[in-house]
Amino acid sequence: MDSDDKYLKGIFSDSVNDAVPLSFLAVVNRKIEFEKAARIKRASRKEILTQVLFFAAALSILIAAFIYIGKNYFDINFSFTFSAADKFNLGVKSAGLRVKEVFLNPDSIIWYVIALNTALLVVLQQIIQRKLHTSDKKTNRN
Amino acid sequence: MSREEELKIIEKIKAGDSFLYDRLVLEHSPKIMSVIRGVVGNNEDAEEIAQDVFVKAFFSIDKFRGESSFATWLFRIAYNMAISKMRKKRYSFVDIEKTNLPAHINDQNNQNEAEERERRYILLEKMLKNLDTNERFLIMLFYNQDKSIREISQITGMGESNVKVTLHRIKKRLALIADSKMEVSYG
Repeated sequence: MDSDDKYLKGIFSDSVNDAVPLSFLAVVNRKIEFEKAARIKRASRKEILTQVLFFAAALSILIAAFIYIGKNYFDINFSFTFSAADKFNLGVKSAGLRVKEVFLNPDSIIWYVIALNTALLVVLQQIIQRKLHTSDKKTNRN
Repeated sequence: MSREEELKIIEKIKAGDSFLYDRLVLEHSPKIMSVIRGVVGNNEDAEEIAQDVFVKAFFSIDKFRGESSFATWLFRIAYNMAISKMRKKRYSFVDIEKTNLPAHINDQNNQNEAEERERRYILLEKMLKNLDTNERFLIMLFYNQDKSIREISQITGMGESNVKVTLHRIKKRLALIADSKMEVSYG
């Protein structure tokens, strides 16, 4: 250390490790509690949003599957015009016959694929829900 | 508190015993406050920033791996926070508050010492006003906290040679200010 260093050290050491206000620790702890609460709220909002998005996606797939089945196996016309009303009625009447045909048809593999997809969606939802629940526990611990 | 004791406390905090965090706050808050006060200049803002440093440290404590000392890690958080907050111009450097003058300054018998302390405070204020936030932080770590070049490099993320060069440059500037102030004082 040269003379400049010693001189500057003398100047700057006047305020070395000054006393901290008595309330400092209490305020820090209060801020920590506020932040913990805020994090729990944020995590909860994120979980709700994730579940909503997941179910919206699952529902969309389900609706698409129903439309596909309705159009290809039950002859239900989904165009909303008066002329299509008759076709719709005819389609519904033949539904019973169609159901039997679909389930007993050797080529009804599409049904099993749809069922499998639905089961997969449910399993995925359970896994995601458990993961979010575990991360929630970790946030709460902190 | 020894380093081993500190590391044990940190491991317990990570395991969930968050009440032990109070000990770390009590141990390190004077150092953090001292440096941040030198960077921002006033007690109120320094207190707020220092509190935020400890809050951030609490929630990031899982990231502390013990490669550096806990104090160095805290100073790193303080450095990043001070730079960020000063950059947002939420805080601006104001005159150094003289609230930290010890009580005996008012004693008649210590009048000379009181005057000398007063002069040094004025000089300190003038010096710090001429530096930017980063420079103030460096100078406080080096002269106020006796941190080594290596530690300052770890705290600020600057290379060691960069720290040396910057400190040398700042020192020269401060020495000029000190000389001119001394001339004015004793002129």
